[in-house]
Amino acid sequence: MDHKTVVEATINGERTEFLCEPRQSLLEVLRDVLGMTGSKEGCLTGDCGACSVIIDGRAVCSCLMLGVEAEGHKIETVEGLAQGSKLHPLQQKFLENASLQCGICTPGFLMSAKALLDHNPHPSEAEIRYALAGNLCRCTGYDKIVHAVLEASKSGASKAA
Amino acid sequence: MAATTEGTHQFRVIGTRPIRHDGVEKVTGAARYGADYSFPGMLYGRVLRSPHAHANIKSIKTDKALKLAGVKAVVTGADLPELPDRIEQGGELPINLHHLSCNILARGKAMYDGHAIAAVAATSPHIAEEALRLIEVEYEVLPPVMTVEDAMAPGAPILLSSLRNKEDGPDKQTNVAAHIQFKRGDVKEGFAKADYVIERSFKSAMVHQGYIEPHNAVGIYNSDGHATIYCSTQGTFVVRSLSAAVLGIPEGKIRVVPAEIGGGFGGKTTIYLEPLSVLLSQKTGHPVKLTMNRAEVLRATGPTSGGTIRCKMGATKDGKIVAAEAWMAYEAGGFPGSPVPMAAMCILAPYDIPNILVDAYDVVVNRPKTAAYRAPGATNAAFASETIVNELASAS
Repeated sequence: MDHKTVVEATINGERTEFLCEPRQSLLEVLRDVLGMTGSKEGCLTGDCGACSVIIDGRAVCSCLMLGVEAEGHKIETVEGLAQGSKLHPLQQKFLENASLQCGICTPGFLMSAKALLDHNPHPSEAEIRYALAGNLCRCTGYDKIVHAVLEASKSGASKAA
Repeated sequence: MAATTEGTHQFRVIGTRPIRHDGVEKVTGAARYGADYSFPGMLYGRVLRSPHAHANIKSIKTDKALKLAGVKAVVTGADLPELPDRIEQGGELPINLHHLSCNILARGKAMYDGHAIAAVAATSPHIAEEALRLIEVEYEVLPPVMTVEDAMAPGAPILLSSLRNKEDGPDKQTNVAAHIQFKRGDVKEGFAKADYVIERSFKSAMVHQGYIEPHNAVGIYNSDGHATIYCSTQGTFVVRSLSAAVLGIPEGKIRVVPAEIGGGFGGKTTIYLEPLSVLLSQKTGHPVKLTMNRAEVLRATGPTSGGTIRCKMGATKDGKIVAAEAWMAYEAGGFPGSPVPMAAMCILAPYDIPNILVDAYDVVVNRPKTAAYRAPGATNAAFASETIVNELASAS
């Protein structure tokens, strides 16, 4: 059995320490070690985007990253989007635009969209579609998701705004 | 939400744009899908799957896997009760219990690449994965039969030795599980009256429902004989009745808690991991969580059938379809039960045709056992008949 390592990272603004084996992915650490099941497992090969989180401002598939690689980095997950009961504009627009049905892809889409808006506060529709191309949805047909991100960008959702 | 309708009527709900009641949980990541459940002392399960599309299983040795530190149980088909050849209602399609149980864990024969052979429970999913590699299975590889044509050809290898169909009788081994026929009028006379006759052949491939969420189940067996299953499913009561049958315990002793589901589209109307989670929990005395990875979902869970349809339709100059004929053979997968009966009902259903003959065949092949996929069987059928109607409409 591989010995566990102590890893220190900032998760949703909080300095956090966790124990993990070298072979555990960041997704596994979030879900099984930290109990943060908001990030979802869809494929384990980085193809579906359901596990998307933001590492130092960049959208990343957490199934493709090891837990130990998180050392010293800043991680944002879907659990950190809302401020208490105040939803992030992206979350609000997803609800208003019916941008989700089963919802399994939703956390991944929200994080990919946030990563986009944090860098590009007023993206074009094409830029949005390209930024979300790594997230798959089987229920909605994508249009309402894109629309929600456009609306969120207009309501000043960007961190940079 | 305020009603904002025009016209003379003010409706309370129609015309409003309500926020879905489960929306906030889903956008905050708080919604609990099957794989999101955890319990104290929980173990992780993994399933060993056949790498061969068609093989006899000569032996399974589990002792090396059991010796690996962290492994708490290993089960095979021998750990499940034998069920009679009996039909039960299972979600959208009827199910043969013996075949269902064989699909959950193979009995002596691997019927498709991905067929479940054994399952383990261990203290981590990684140890469970390592344990799979230590299970020794001796296979006698057999020639795979992958298409309906190959399966129906005279002299084809017989996939299920006990399979018989009503038509061929009790003494004929076959890969055709059923022949359904719909007949009305006289198609020969009908085609003779037609001014235009179009006949085409269509092949369709098996297609997976493609839900983003893989299958999952957490099973908790109490020593008093009661079990609880947490899983994502389209049918809680079906999970209960089918799991009870496969495990050989009374339905009233199983409680199924339906989690949020990450897509089903028909594919989650049956069971795969649910009884295994309870079986492993029974053997270990701990809750056991099983999930599939994407490769397993695509290899081992039910797609809709691929198959062949030959369709012929005849119409008169004034636009009346006077005769239609269809020959349809659908892949059932490793066990009988394709949606071909429904496909046979649907293929000509929208039309008023006086002379009809539909022959439909449910054919066993070495592919994963099919499951319902939204409008089971009818999409392939409509592809065939509607293509011909299109051609007829512009024929002159």
